Amino acid sequence: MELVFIMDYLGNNELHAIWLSVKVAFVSLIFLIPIGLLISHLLSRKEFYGRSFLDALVHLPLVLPPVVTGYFLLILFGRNGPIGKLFEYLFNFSFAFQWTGAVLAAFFMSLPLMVRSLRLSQDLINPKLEQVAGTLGASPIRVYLTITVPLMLPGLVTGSILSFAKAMGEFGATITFVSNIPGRTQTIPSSIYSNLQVPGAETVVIYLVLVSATISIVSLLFSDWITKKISERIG
Amino acid sequence: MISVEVKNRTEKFELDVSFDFLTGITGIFGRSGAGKTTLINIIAGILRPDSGKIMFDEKVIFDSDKNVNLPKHLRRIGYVAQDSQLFPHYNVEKNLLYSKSHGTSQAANFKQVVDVLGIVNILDRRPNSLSGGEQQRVAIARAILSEPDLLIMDEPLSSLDLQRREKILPFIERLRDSINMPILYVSHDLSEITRLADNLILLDAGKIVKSGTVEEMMSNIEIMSFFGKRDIGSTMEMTVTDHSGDGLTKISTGAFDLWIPHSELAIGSQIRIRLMAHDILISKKRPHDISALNIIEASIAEVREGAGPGVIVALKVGASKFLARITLRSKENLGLAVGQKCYAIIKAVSVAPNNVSKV
Repeated sequence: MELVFIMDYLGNNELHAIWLSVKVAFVSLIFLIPIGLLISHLLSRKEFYGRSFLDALVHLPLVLPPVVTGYFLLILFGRNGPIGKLFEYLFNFSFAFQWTGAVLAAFFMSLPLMVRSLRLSQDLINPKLEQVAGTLGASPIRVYLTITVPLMLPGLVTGSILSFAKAMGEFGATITFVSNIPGRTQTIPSSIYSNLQVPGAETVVIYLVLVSATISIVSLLFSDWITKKISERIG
Repeated sequence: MISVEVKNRTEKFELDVSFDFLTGITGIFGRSGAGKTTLINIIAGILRPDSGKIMFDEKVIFDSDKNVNLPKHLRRIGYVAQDSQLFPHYNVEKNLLYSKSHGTSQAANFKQVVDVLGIVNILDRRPNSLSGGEQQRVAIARAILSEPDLLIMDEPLSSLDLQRREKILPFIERLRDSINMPILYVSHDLSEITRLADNLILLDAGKIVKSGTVEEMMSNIEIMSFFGKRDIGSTMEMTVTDHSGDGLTKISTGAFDLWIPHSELAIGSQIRIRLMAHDILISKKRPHDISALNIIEASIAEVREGAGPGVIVALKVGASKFLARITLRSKENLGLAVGQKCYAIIKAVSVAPNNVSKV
C-alpha cells in the first residue's frame, strides 16, 4: 500500500536512480572485498619498496575533494584517458558516462574506508597465531583462509557497510566523472539534486530522501546484527 | 637424531651454536637475551639463519651450502608457545584437529593424547572459556597431534601461576613417558627443567656454555655462576626403597640413603630429586642429638668462592656428587679443604614436593 503510494510520486527516472544506486553499491562491493583484502595484506604483512606510496595513494580519495577525484578519474579512465583507451581497445569497454563509471567512482571513494577497516583488524591478529598454524602443517594460503580471514570478519563487515553507505551517497566524484544523465547515470543523490532544481518537486525529493535513509538504516542494523553474531563466534 | 648447527648475526646479537639430541626432553636454559627464542625460531623455520645446517636423522631441514630451506609448514615441528595461541574461532576439538585436514576425533592417537593431557571434557568448549592451564594443555595436545618429528616447547608454563604450573607438570611428565618424540624444552626456570629434562644445554650470549645430562650439569660447580644463587641445587636419580608408617619415604642412590617426605611412588621406582644447595649443612664431626634425619658421610671434592659471602662446596659420596652452599665464614671456621672428610646434614622436610618427580 505504502509502496504503491510512493511509486505514484516517483517517476521512471527516479525509480531507475534508486535501482542504479543499489546496483552500483553492490557491484562496487564485489570488487572492493578481494582488492581491499589484497591491499590490506600488502600493507599489514609485507615489506616492499613503495609501501608508503601505495598507502597514500589508496587514502587519497579520503582527503581530496570528491570533485577532484572525479576529475582524476575523467583524466585517467575517460574516453581519452590512457586507461580508458586501453580498456576500450582491449575489451571494447567504456567507463565514460556509463553506470560502470559510477561503479568505478564508488569503488575509489570507498577503497580507503574498506582498506582501513580491514587493515585495522588484520593488524590486531597476533602473527604468532599464523606461525603456529604454519607449524601445524598449514600452507600459507590455508593459514590465510582458515585463520587470517575469519579473524578479520568484523573488519570486513564494518568495511563493507561503510563502503556500501559511501557508494549509496557518493555524489561529487560520480557527477564529475559520469555526469547526471537520467535513466543512465543518475543515482539517488544526483536525482535529489536535480529534483531540487525543479519547482514543485519537493514531494519527490522527500520520498527519495526517505528511500535513501531507509536503505542506509536497514544496512546499518543488518551490520550490527551480523557483527554481534561474529563476535559471539570469534569470542 | 636431530642435529643443529647454525650461525646468525644481527646488529646487536650473534648466535653460533652446534648441538645434537635424541628422544626425551632436552632443556635449553639461559637468561633472557641468551638467544633461546632466536634459536627456537630458527629451528621452527620462522627465522632464517645466515648459515648452518639442520638435520632430522637423514632429512635436511636447512642447509645454507646446498640452499635448502624447508618452509615451516613442511618441517613437521610442533611448536608450543608461552601463550597458548589457540585459534579463537574454533572450539577445542577443531583446534586439535587443525593439523589434519580430514582428521577425525576417532583416531587412536587422538583419544590417547586427549586422555594423557586430561582434556576429554572440554572438547566442545571455546578457547576463551578455558583457564590458562587448560589452554596450555590444549596447545600441547594440538602440537602433538600434528605428529611432528620434533616438539618445541618455548617457556610453556611461564604465563601460569605457581599453582597451575604444579598441576600441569605431571601431564608433561606423563607425555614424556608416553610418546617417543624428541622435545626441546626452553625455560629460564631451573626447577622446571631439572624436573623434566634428561639433558640440558646452557646458552649464554648466543653460545653454548656447556651441555650434558641434567645430573652432570647441576652438580658442575663451573657453571653455577649462570644460575641464580637461590637456584643452585643438584639433581639426583634415586630408587624408592621404603615407606615408613610415620609418613616418610626412604630413597637410595646405592651409595647413601635419604629420608624425604612421603612420595606416592611404589618401592623400586626411580625418583628424581633436587637438593637445594642452601638447604645442606656441613659438619666436620658426626652430629648427635640433632633433628635432621639425613646425615651423610662425604668428602669435599671442590670448593669455589664467589664475589659474595657464600662458597659452594661440591661433596662426593661414592659416585654421586652434590653441592652445598655455606658462608665463607663457616668455611674458614671449619677450615674446609678439598679431600677432607665431612658430614652433610639434610633435613627431610627441606626436600619440597615440587623438587621430587618420577623419572
